[in-house]
Amino acid sequence: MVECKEIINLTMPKDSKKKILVAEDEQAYSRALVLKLQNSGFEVESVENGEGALKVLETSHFDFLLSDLIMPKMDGFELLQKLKEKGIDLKIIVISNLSQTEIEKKVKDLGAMDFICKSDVSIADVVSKIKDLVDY
Amino acid sequence: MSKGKFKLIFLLILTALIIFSAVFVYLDWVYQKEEIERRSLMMAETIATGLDGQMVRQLSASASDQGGLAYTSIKDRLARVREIDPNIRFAYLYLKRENKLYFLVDSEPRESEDYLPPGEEYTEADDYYFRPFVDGESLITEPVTDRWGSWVSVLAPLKNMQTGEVFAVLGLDYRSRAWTQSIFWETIKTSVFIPFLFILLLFIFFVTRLVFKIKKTGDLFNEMTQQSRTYIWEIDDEGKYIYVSDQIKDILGYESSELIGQKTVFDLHPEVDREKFKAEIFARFRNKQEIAGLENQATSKDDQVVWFLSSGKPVLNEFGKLTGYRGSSTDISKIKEVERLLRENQDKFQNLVSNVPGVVYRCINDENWTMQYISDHIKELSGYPAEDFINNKVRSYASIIHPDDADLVATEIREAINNNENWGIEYRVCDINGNIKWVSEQGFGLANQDGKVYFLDGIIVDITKQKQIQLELIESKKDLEKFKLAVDNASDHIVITDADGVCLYANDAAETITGFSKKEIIGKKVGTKENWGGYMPKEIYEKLWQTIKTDKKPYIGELKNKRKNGQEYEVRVSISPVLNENDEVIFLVGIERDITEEKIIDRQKTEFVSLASHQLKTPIGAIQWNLEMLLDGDYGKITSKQRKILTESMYLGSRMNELINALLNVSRLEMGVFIIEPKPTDFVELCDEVIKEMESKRADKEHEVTKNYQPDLPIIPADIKLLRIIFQNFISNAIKYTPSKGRITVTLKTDENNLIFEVANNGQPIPEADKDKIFDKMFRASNAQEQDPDGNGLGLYIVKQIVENAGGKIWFTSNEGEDTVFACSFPLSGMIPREGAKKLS
Repeated sequence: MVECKEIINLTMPKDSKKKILVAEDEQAYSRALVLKLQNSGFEVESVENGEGALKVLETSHFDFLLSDLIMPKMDGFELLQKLKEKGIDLKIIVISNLSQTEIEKKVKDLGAMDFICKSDVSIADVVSKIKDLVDY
Repeated sequence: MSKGKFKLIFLLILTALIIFSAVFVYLDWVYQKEEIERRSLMMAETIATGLDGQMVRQLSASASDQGGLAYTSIKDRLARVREIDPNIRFAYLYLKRENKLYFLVDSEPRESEDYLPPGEEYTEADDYYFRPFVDGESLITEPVTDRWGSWVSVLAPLKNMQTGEVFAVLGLDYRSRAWTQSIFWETIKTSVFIPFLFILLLFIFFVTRLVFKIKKTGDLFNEMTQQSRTYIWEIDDEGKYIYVSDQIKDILGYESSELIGQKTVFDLHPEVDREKFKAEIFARFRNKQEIAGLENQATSKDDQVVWFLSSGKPVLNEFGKLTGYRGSSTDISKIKEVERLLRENQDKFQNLVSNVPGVVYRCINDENWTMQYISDHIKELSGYPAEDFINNKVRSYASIIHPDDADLVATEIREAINNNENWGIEYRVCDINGNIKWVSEQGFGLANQDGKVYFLDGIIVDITKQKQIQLELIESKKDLEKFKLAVDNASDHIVITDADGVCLYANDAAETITGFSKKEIIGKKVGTKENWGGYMPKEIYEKLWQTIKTDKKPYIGELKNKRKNGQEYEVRVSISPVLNENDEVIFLVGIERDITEEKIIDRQKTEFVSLASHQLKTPIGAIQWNLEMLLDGDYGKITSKQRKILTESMYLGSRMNELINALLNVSRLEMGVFIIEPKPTDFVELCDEVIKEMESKRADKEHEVTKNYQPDLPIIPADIKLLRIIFQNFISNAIKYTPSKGRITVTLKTDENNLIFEVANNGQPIPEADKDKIFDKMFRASNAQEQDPDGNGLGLYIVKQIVENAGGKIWFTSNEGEDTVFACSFPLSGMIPREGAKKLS
């Protein structure tokens, strides 16, 4: 594990470590994502819902937001809406098991760069997508 | 003069004569009566004057007068009066004394029963007998009846010449019967004159007529003799005149000398047909044939063509050789002219009849309508020739009348005849092919002199076409009523507007759906904010009007409307322009279906599928990711045994995920909530992509994959996500069921109308018994289960649903010794779009 980190640290300069916020109410997902992304060289924080995400994003800078859609208190749609309203600018990837085209379209309209159906992709694919978007 | 007219005049004369006679007899009677009265009075007055007044005055009207000279003398005079006029039965004198009348003397001898002794009172005397004493005038009484019988008395007063005093009255009694008879006879005498006059008149009349007739006959005779202009001729064996009688001059203007020995009969024949005539005559000459009733022509001296009826006999010499002909020719030009005129008239009639647009007929008024004449148009109407009907030679007219109408025809015609009216009827006839034709007949009965109708004249016109149009009109009117009823009561909101959208008609549903009354709708532009519309973006309305008014095509779409109470509702609208013959929009028909409920249900279905999808996928996704991380060593080192178990679990997880996706697709398909969004798609590019994706799955099997793409395959509209599902399914099936080193051929090609996608493989063929179930849900062929026990049996079912919903076709062929081929095709126009809520995954 440590070896891996070191390798990543070698490839990615410390000052350029990208900050990712994960908004996910399902522990099994958020834990896996946080671990995997940290192992992949990102600085990761996680929140349980949109409200938490908004609070964090209002105060700190993040490069990425990985947000679920169905969450208690404030769902992903509302979160995206609020971020758009508040002019908080960061790269957003929506990860959800809601797989309708309309939803994909809707979140993209709200500023998401990508939409990922969690059950249809491997976690490694998620990481590589984020990596693809780093320099985007 | 016609017989009838003569009869009428005769009757008139007779009636006039009878009236005249009656008047005459009456006037004569009055005259004769007055005349007899006048004569009697005159006679009585003359006798009275002739009596010696002195003598009369000597009489005292007592028995003592008897035997006296005066008495005897006067009695004698009175007796003689009777002799003068035998009608006078009594002659007597009487006087008035103390208002009573006493006889002085009478004409009867003493021995007579009727003898009146002097001084006898005339007790029965009525007022008449006193009157001469009062006014001194003579008079005639009305018939009076007394002891002697019934009398008419002529009374004449005897007066004193100086004083005028009436001292006696002379009475002459006529038997009243004799008196009347004498008037009667006198009247008769003169009245006899009348019948005589009548007979005389009649006699004169008949004689005049007869004379007239005779004269006329005479004229006719003269005319006939004049007309029947005949000349006698003799010709030699070359046709040259040997003799011609002098009448020829009157007929042809030639002197006989100009012809005899000079000209032949052929020279006289008009130039046209002369040779033909010559040949005909010489043919007869050769056969020494008699010429009988030959109609020939000759030209007169002044170039007029004259027709002759010629007869002649051959003249033979003693050796039997023909020397010529002898005969006569009669000028029949006038007859010919009459014939020509007749023929012309007949032609005119025929012409007229043949130009009348119908069948003209005359028939006998019988049950067969036996035709005496029927024009050729009957052939067009019935298919039978006219002559068939004449006197029912082949068939009667009644036989072609439709049996159901025969009674009607008979009844109507008889009724019209009885009422002395024309008839106009419509009925059916059956033609030669058994087709029914409608006809209209107008006709009238021809009454004989006895008032009976023996013949019917009329015209029959084929009105089948008009009748059909009429029936169609009635039918279409009925249809129209049905349509109106249907539209009125349709559950969809239906409005008809003019070209600008101003409402002309709205059905009941328009009221119930929008909440606006028909009064509020009709006359206003529909679908504006003034009523239920105008709540959609401007572009939508612009597109709508563009479609219906400029493109003149129906607009179909979904709109959001607002009811009168402010409630929003969704409609599926279809607005169709109605064009006139100049391709101008005259009406718009708008049908709006309230789909609010439908939409809610759709949304609910969609939401259910979404939720189910989310809830099923969330745990499986989490499991998969965590298994993946375990395998990747993210959670620490694992043993090889653990790795094996984790790998198997992951495989099961991915199968579970596939199954969930497949089941969700099935439910989307079955709920009808999936979308087909065709966009121009490059089938080749997509196919390559799918084959590439599948490479990992077939790597260990070393299949030989051949791409058989038709060059320049057209790009057609297709939903790329659905097409991907189809391609993935066909290709992955081929990989699954093709043994190692087997052959897979992917084909993309077109036929005339379709783009075809085919995947062939040389795996095991599908067992015959399973073929009809291959597209069934959850069905797996028996040999497929052996080769791939993990298949869920949903793939081909889903593909079939997609293909058919998108307007395509799907099929397969699989036979022993041949490749198994799965194929589908889409029209070159592309997939049919479909609105829904969900895409398939």
